[in-house]
Amino acid sequence: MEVQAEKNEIKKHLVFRVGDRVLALPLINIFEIVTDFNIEPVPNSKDYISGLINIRGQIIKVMDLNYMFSKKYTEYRARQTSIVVIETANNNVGILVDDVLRVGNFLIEEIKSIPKSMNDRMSNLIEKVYKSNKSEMCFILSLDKILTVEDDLKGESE
Amino acid sequence: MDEEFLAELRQCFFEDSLESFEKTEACFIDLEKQNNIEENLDEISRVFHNIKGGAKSIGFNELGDFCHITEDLIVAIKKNELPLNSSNIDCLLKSNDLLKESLSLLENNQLPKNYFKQHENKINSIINKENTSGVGELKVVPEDTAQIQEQIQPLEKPAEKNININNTKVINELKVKPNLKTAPRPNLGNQSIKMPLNKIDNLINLFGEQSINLSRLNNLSKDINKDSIKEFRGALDSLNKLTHDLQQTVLSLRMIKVDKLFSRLERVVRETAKQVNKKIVFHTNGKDSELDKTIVDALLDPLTHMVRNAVDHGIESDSTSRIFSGKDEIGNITLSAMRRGGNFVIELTDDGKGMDKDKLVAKAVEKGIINSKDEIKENDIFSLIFKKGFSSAEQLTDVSGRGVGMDVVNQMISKLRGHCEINSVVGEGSVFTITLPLSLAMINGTLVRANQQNYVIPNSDFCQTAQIQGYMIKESNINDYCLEYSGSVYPLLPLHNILSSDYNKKFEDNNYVALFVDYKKDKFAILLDDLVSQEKIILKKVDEEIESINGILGGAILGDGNVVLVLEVKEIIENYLMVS
Repeated sequence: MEVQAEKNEIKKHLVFRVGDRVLALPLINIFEIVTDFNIEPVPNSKDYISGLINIRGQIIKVMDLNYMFSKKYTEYRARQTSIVVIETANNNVGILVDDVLRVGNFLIEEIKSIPKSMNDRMSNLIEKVYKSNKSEMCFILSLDKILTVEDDLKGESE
Repeated sequence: MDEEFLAELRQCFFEDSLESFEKTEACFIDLEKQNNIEENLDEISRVFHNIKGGAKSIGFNELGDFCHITEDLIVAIKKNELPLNSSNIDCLLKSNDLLKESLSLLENNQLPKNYFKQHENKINSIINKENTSGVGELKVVPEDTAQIQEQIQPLEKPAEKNININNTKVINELKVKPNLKTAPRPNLGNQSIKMPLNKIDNLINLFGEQSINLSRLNNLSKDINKDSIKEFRGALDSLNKLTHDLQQTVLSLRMIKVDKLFSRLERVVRETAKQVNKKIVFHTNGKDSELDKTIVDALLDPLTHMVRNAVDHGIESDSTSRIFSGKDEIGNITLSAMRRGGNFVIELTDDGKGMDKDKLVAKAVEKGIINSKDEIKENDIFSLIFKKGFSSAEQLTDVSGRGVGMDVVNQMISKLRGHCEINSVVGEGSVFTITLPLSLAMINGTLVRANQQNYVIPNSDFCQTAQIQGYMIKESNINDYCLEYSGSVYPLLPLHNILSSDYNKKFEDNNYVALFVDYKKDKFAILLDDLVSQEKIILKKVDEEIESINGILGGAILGDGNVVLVLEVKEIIENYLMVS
């Protein structure tokens, strides 16, 4: 019986698009989604940092996921480009995405680890993969890796 | 009792008690000078009594019992059964310290069993010795001492039990933050502040005015025509003024007097002087000056270190050499606090032997901090002691040479956006001047423009602005500029280059603005495109990664809701000097 219960357990995820990739993050880690924003660039910062935004008095760092995956800056498109704000222990962090698609109910049993052989830049940032019969495949980002991305990218560029 | 309520009570108890102990410390020091003996003793026993009551009511019985025993000692002194000598004062001070430590231990639920036992026994022996030797009969009748023992015994046993029960309870409450591995510190998360009531009354008054103003504006807005515009402006003006007053009052809520900090330092002087066997008098000025609470709290560590240094290295080791150089046998250390301009200044003065520039330079060369004498400017010699690995004491002593060097002190002061200057004359003494901002919360700044982006530069960072024409800028080297302005030449740091690595436009015959900055007795010019406006900003924390970028102090939010970066000119200049 217990096994049965686990089988049907679901975990809500936010699904969004970055470039032509479909990505997801557990909904529980999302603070909010911002569509109307004004990013203040930060001079001398890392290339993947878009800048800072103000969310009701809190200043939040925004990172460009497009740049993190493909070294291309996100192009702004009205009504599509959004900032997904992730809740963290210290300071919330925003990630710039091309479009927010939906909130998906992911069956836990269908969330799989990524194949070890995947060896592109992406595997640094993604943790798991989700594929069900109904929906397209999407990659679940690793929160830890995004928040500590600094070291990873540095290592690659050297 | 409701657990949450109990936790709240305990938090209150910790805060109140800690404050009380600061008060008693000052009393003890006064007592040692044999001033106002009766009042001070009364005050001390009152505090101990209160803490006893408080502790027992929330289940800290061991602590309460210990207070009780200490109270006995005070009572005995008050009744003249025991002399008020320095060993007894030390004993009381020790109690004070133990209690203070036990509070932070208790707060983290780490109070070991029988924590007070040793000192309890000591106090008991002091009290009993006096009794037994003073009253002959007691010696003869052994039952009496046995009785005393009996009295002590039952006191201790239930105390232990109670603490045990409470411990498990507290553990359950505090499971959320289990691993505090280092020395327990008071919980910083939810500090409270005590303030005079008139500050709050003032605030309420201003809010009253504000709402009157609001309704006036509302009324006016119902009927806007040409005639009412003047009235509108009037209302707006008074709104401006009120907001300014409100702002000042709100900010003043964070301000506390430095008197408690000073009396703690007095204690440090006393202890250190005793340790190194020197006679020193500690003077204070400006105890009532107010400063932002976070700054006052953060000043304790660096000042403690500096005061120790002054006692240990500043004042001469033997009094004969003092007399020989025409000074009083007793050394003087003075701590003053004052407001100077928009800054808060703390001065630590000693009339000791002073610092010898030649010796400092020789030491720095020996330690490999500089290569030769020529490498350092006359003005910078004293700042050598802020360099890492520099310790001018001939011998590392228990007092000063314990690893926290002056470099750490300097860092801590820089963190508070302050700086420290040293002046010293051989044979006359030294003066350490710490300059600090009045408040960390609000900054008066100038919104400036460079590279099509706006930044805020705190007004305290620069001393003058000037309109500059392109022809006044000379390129002395590749990417190295200087500015010719009213007959002088200044090193010029264009924000354009500093804030963008790929900027390589020449400065043409456009108009620019230069900010002149005093940095270590040199003047630098910062070049930017334009001044935009004056802003009062509230400095906000931004991501650590961004704050660590050279030249960025933090962020702020402007009236239009946009984020703006706040620059730190000092860091920009430091970096410039380091690279060049």
